[in-house]
Amino acid sequence: MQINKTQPSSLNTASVYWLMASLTVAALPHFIYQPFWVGLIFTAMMGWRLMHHLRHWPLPAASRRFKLLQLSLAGLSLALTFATYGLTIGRDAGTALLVMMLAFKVVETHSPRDFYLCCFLGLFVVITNFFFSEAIWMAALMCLSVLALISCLVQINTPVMTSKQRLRLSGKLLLQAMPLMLVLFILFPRISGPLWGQTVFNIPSSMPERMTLGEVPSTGTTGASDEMQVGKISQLIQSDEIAFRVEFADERPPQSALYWRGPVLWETDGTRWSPIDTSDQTPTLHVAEDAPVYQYVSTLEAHNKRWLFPLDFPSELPAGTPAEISGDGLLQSRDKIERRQSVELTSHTRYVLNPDEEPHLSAGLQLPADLHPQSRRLASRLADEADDDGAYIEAVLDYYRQQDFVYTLTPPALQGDTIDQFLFESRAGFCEHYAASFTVLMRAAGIPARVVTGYQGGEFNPVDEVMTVRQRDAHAWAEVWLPVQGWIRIDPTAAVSNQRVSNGITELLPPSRQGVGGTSEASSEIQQLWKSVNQHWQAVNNAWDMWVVDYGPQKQLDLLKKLGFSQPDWRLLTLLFAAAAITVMSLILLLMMRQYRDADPVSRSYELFCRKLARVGVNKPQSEGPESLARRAKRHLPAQAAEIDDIISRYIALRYRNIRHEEDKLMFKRAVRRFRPKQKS
Amino acid sequence: MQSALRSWRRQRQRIFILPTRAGLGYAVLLIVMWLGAINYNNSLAHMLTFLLVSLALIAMTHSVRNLRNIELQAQGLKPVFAGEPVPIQIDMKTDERTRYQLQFAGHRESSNSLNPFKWMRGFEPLQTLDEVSERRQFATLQLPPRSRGQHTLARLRVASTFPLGLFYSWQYFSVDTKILVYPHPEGHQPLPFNTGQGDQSALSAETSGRDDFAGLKNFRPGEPLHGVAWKALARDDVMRSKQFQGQHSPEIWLAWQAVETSDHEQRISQLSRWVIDAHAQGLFFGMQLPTETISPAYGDVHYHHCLRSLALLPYAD
Repeated sequence: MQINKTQPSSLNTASVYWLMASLTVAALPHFIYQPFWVGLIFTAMMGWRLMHHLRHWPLPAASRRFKLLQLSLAGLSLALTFATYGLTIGRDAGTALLVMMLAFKVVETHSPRDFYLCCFLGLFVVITNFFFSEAIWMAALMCLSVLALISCLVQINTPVMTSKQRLRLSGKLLLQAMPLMLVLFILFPRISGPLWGQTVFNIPSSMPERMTLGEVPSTGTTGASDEMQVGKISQLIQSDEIAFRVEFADERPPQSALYWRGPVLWETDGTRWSPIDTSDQTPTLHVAEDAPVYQYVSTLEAHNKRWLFPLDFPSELPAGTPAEISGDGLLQSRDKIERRQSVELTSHTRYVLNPDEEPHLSAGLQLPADLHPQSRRLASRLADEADDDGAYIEAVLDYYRQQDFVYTLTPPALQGDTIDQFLFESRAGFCEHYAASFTVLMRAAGIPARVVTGYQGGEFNPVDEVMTVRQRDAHAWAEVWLPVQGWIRIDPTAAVSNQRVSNGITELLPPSRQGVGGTSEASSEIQQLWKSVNQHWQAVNNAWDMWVVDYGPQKQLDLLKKLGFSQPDWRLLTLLFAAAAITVMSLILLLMMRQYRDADPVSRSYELFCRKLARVGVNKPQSEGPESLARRAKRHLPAQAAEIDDIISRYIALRYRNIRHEEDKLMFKRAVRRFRPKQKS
Repeated sequence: MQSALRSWRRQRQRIFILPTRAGLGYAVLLIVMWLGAINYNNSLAHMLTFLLVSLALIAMTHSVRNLRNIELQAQGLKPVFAGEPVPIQIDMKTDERTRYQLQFAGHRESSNSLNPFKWMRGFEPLQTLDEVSERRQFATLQLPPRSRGQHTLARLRVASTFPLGLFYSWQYFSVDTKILVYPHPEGHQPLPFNTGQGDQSALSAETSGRDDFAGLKNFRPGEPLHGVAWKALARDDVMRSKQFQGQHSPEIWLAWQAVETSDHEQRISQLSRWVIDAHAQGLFFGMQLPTETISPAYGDVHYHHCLRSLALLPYAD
């Protein structure tokens, strides 16, 4: 290795400022993602270094006392990290340590070697941010950070440049790196992780496995992961996170048919509702010939469960994804959905389900023995008045409509016999309450019924024709079984709040969560504009998630298939990658390494003339003048002496006699172009 | 075809490039990043890793481009004495692009060896030009002091870590610059007026005889400057030297044997000292060396002739 002795051994202040600014940008998101003391220690260390330059505060290297102070701070941050995360260094603990240690290193940066190390660690901090968020804003912020860090590297190598020149050069380098980066990104064979440790994070709220009405006292089985995941749909409504996105192949169903089927709940103890195992059966589906069939691709966000949430009711198993369907119509993939995943699904919205035989009818009639006395009384009264099951169902729905039931996202807390309390006291509730109480009323009258959870609705974006279903669209409804008709979906919530089903949840949300359009008295034009901007932004986000964030081994192979390779594998991918990389790199080299041509057309033509002569063996030494060259050339090519004389005299006139007419230059150029040296044989 | 190939080859400059220590660190960083990206199946992490890989390749081309299309010639400026830095002038031609951080290094002739790595290493860093924006630039480089004698700076190395410090690229220029280093003047012996063929009485004649002004004649290069008729020059812009009637400059001989030391190099140093002193006093002096005898004369040409002869004396075994 060549040792660069002429490089300055100390750093100038400006480059340290730049370094600190770049590192701060890189570490900024960790102020949010990490506990507060990480940011605090980072800021303190940066501040120390800054005060050293501004107010000449001593650095730790100055005396043993400061060294000790710094060491004890480092010890403290280590202790805090272990206290918070334990002894296993995972993503969070690792990043916290990295950010703090980087700050400690900055205080002790004295040589170019330290400087390089800080820049490289900074680049590593940049990459850790992506483990926390892959959103567009994060990518943009990190672009800025990388630009700043690269300009730091430029600065230490070229101190004479101004900041503007430096940033321009760094930007230029990064832009020139883009084509090759794209080739690498698209074609470099990807390996599917993980290699070590736990790597699935950021799983937001997801559909609960069971349904709980009211406050449930802790059952004592704390710590069990199942118990922790017991949640309530109403909590899910608080979240604007995306649950899944749907792209319909051609037609999309009407808004009122958008029921996305999740877990089916059968068993109840009066408060909690749980599923039963029906995996040994398959549903029997009867579909009319002319019933509309919907084919669509659903892209589910990671939710760490196996549910696929098809449109009610899935008529085929998904193509390309191993999955199974249970007797009560719960479609599950074989593997947990731990990262965003696309599934091709087919559904019918008009169907008859299990009309002839339903093996779980008894489970559909189960009620806790000594609960809900008031509800049972209401059920028997209404059942006595009704002629048949259909009339009874209508009577129950009428009951919801006629009594003063309120649909609210913030129902009062229920305790004790939640169903009776809801039906006869609070009468304010949410889809869970309606679905559960309706099911109880059905069962009390001897009609098999069950609760289905899932999502209802979805927001269609005309820009990219993608329908987005969010966590706030979580819903619960009921199904009743009638002979011949099979399972029929009945949404009691719709009886109370028709809006919820026909328009979706958005309009029921508090104004603060509806966006600009809903509340302000702004003109409809601004509302329209806002809506359009919003839709475009959504479309950009969708595309980002689908094509950038989600681009992995599977998408790579899909892409090759689209390009017409019938059986793509990693060997083909490697081959393609190598070819593309070599092509792009050669193009770059060709563009960057091309000889800078002399701007002067006269010397260019003269050079051409010299090259032509060289081809027949008349090489021109650099020092040779035109007249001497002409003499030698004429000796070599006596037949073309006149031509050579003409060219040389024109050249001399243009070069040395101050003749600057354009036509003279053109004549010279033409003479050179026509000159064909003929070797005498 | 073959001749075209040959001429292309002749035009090509050979530029070498290797990663620096920082560049190797960067490579390690990229590998760790790549593993992290795989482990977390993180698309943006992959993208950043690939961006930095491409960036390194682009930086490599910039590094080479920074050295391309440079023509360089060098020449020694003037003879110097041993122990003084040796100035050489370089004449550099580039195209319109600005070059940055050109680190010059000169080849040490003593380290000539068959070992190619040693051959690459035998360079001493000279100077860094931070920015070269002219198409033609002259600069003076100071070579470290050398011992007396005739030296050759065979090759210059121009290197750079521009732009990111990840790569060190360099190229060699054959300059074949001759450098003459005079012996270091040292010694306390007074000028040997009484030795050699010089006449003792001539000393007094020299000091008094100067006064007999005889006229002016045209100045010839090499005559001592203190003989120039400056006033006459100011009057009519013709350089003349004063002639003295009956001038009989005292002759002194600087003889090898007159130096009172047995050490070869000390003797040469003392002779060098004497030459300088004698020249400064405008004396008419000759020199007797084991290898040659220089007949008495005066003037710059004679002065440099004497020092050159001293410089080129063979070293003692």
